[in-house]
Amino acid sequence: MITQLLTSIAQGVGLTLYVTGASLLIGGVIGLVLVGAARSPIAIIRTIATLYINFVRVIPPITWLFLIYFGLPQYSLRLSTIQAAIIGFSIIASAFMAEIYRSGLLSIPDGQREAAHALGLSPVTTVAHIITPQAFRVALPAIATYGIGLLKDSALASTIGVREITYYAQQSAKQTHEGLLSFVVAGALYIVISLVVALVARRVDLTLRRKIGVA
Amino acid sequence: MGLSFGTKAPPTALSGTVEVSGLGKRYGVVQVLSDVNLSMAEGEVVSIIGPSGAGKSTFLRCLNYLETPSEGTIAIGGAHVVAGGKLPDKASLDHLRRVTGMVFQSFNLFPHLTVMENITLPQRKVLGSSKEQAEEVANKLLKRVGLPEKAMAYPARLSGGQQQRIAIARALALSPKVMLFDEPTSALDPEIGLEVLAVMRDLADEGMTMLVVTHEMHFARDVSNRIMVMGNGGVLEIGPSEQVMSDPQNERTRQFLKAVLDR
Repeated sequence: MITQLLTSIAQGVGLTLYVTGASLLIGGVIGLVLVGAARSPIAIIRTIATLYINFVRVIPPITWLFLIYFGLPQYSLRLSTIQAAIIGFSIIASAFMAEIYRSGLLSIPDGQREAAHALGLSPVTTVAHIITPQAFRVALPAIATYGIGLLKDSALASTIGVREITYYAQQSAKQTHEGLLSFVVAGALYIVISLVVALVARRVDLTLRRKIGVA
Repeated sequence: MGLSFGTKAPPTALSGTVEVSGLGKRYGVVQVLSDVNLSMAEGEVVSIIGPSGAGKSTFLRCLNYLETPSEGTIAIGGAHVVAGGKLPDKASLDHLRRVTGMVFQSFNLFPHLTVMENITLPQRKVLGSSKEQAEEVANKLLKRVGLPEKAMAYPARLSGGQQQRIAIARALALSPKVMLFDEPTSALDPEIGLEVLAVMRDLADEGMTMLVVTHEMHFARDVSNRIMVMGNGGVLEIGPSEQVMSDPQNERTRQFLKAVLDR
């Protein structure tokens, strides 16, 4: 019985990973732009970015998904369930990632910028080669933690019909009347994926820490 | 000299003279630096000493625009900048940074790059050197500061003295005309500081123009040609090292020297 459940629910692992991974990636890139904008010398850009970051984070993920999947078709923008999920989670992830990057940036001592300035490095070179690599390493544990949080949030995509882990667990529960077991299996799958992510992040973090000794 | 394709360095020979006049710096209404004048010949070494809060570091940091001075003019090695009013154009500031090299109290090596990358990255980005050219320069400089075997190490693996010597090599790799040292040994224990001072002494012997903010009185007296004593955001006195040390003219200087020498 349990192997049967496992094989059917495990079909959702692919889409769970796809939605989580794509959203983290897209959100991560938009987050970079956001954190840049939030530190812009131009006040209006700074204000817009800051407003976006704070506004996005206070709306629950499920509201975002419904807004995009059920709301946008009203303006004849019909998205597939997977597209809607990825767009929704990318928007949310971008705001959280921007905050994570910001804390990474704050951790870099002024001396790094001063040295780059004294050496005559351009602002672009300084950001690309000095600041970002260091900020990323500081932010890595927080990014991994957020990634695991996003993995769990991705279960909400089942509400708009994305065939990920939780969706298949619901189907199995209906078909086999093994509700408890179905969702235990789903839970176990999330645990396994989270553990793998956490272990990999920890390993990478330790390696970097040993090598460059950042606090 | 031959052709130098791929380098953005100006072709004209740059001199290592320093001409600063009327330099001042205000934070709001607080005047932290006022009317500092200094003129240095090529190859001269000047030590700046004085109590904390005298404006020594601020003065040094104004010279490469780490701090923006509020008034005065700075002319170093062909770069000429007038402070006050609007910010000088980018070309002048870049030039100013090109002719000055700076060494910090806290080393400020880039921790995510190896020693080799620390020295080659600025050369490649600022001078447009090729990887091979940059590494050749880096290897020469690492030998010069006595650390040829550390090229592949990360800064965190090095002692403070070693890090500071690498920082000196990194600055020298851009062939500055004037080296600015901001308390280069203050973060090091006295014994380790010696290895850094030895490198600086060599550099002075080779004819580098150097401006050194320091609390190392022996270095100030023995290595530098002149000593500039600062206090309260201004210059108390400036003169030949021997004379300032043995026969200071200013009362505040006498007080300061008594405190640092009689301990």
